[in-house]
Amino acid sequence: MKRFVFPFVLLAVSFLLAILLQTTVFSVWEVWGTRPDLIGVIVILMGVIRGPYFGGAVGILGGFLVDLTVGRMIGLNLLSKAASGWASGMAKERVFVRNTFMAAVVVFVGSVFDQSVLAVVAGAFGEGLPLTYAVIEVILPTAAYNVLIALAAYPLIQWVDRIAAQIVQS
Amino acid sequence: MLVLLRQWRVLVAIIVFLVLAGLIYLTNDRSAVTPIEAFLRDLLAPAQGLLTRASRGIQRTLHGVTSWRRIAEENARLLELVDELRLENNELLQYRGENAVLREALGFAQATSLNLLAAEVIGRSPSNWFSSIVLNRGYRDGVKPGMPVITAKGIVGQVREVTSRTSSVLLIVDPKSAVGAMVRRTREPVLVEGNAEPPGTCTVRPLVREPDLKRGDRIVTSGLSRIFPKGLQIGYVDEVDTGYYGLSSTGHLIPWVDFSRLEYVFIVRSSKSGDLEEGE
Repeated sequence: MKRFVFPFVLLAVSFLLAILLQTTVFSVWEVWGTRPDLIGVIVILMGVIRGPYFGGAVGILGGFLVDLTVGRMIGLNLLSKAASGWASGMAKERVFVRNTFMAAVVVFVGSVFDQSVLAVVAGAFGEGLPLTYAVIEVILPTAAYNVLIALAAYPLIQWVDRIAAQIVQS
Repeated sequence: MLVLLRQWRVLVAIIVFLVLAGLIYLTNDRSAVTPIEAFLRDLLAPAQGLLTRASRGIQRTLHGVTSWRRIAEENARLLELVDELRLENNELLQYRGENAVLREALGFAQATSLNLLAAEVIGRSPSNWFSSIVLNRGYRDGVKPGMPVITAKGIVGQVREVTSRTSSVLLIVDPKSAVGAMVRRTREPVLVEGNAEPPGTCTVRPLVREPDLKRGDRIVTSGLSRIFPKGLQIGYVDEVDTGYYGLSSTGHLIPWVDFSRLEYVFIVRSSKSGDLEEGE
């Protein structure tokens, strides 16, 4: 039971901290009017480290917490984050992610995928933005900002993952 | 269990997608939040307030350090301005006295002030997709969904979701926002809608057959929407698009409020005519 519950409790706390930072610090410190998607970065990197099923599950948890705390529609972030977590896990199974740089590339592609899913689903429910604007002003800048975050976060997440694995095994 | 999931993964994915689509559909456009959402939002609110204030403080300090030369020049200019304003202020005090006497003489009713509740902006929409802010006031302060939110410069938006300690506000620049308004010069009714592109602007749609909309026209609330009290400033028309063959006319509106720098706002609890009604 501990083996199963502990990682998800740790992740839930991490997500709540990430949501706090994203809605406060990163909304004050915008770069060219863009905020990063910290939850998206964590989900994609967990997919890269642990594979598609764990990535998908982490995406469900992270997306659901975003929907509950600051979301407008329940399920929107859940869907996009679950899809990006699963997709980044699939990338890990096909490409050997051996360093931070490659992880950052996966984060860029995963973020574009995540934001695109979000845009399409939001658009289907009447909350969309014009396509060109969405791509140029939202999707690509968010993905680029996520890459910067990932370069710093990947070693940290790898370290936390190792410590968590040791605690679970002990 | 996992083996079963892997065998039927396509079917499972379709079912999950359909369930989520239903959930998104049901929770879209709602004004109330579930108890668990309210609990999580209230739990985060104190830390959100603290972190936002700390971030703004650091930002201001850094800004001050990096722009000391500009500040020194600005200080000298402002000192000159203070002298000028002092003179002007003396003049205005004289006018105020005269005005009070004239008002009394003419029997004008003193303009009734709105019942306002000051609130601090403690968070913003986490994504780059929606335009909303989170305030540190909720049910326990008497905030209800639908209440208008304003600043001294003009209207900000409308309260959408409320928990006991927080409320989220849909800004007038959000594409989902529409406010009943009028052109101050002509009194023609118009609809002010939020724009997705460019962000931070609105579109003015006249509601009369032959509209007289000009660049520089000031737009104020009409009071017809039952949400915003009449006469509150919204913005000015920056550009008028007459459309094909000049048959239609819409305006591009720049709001008076700078939404990227909002720190404190006022929630209008009631207007001259009494309590404001909930959202349309």
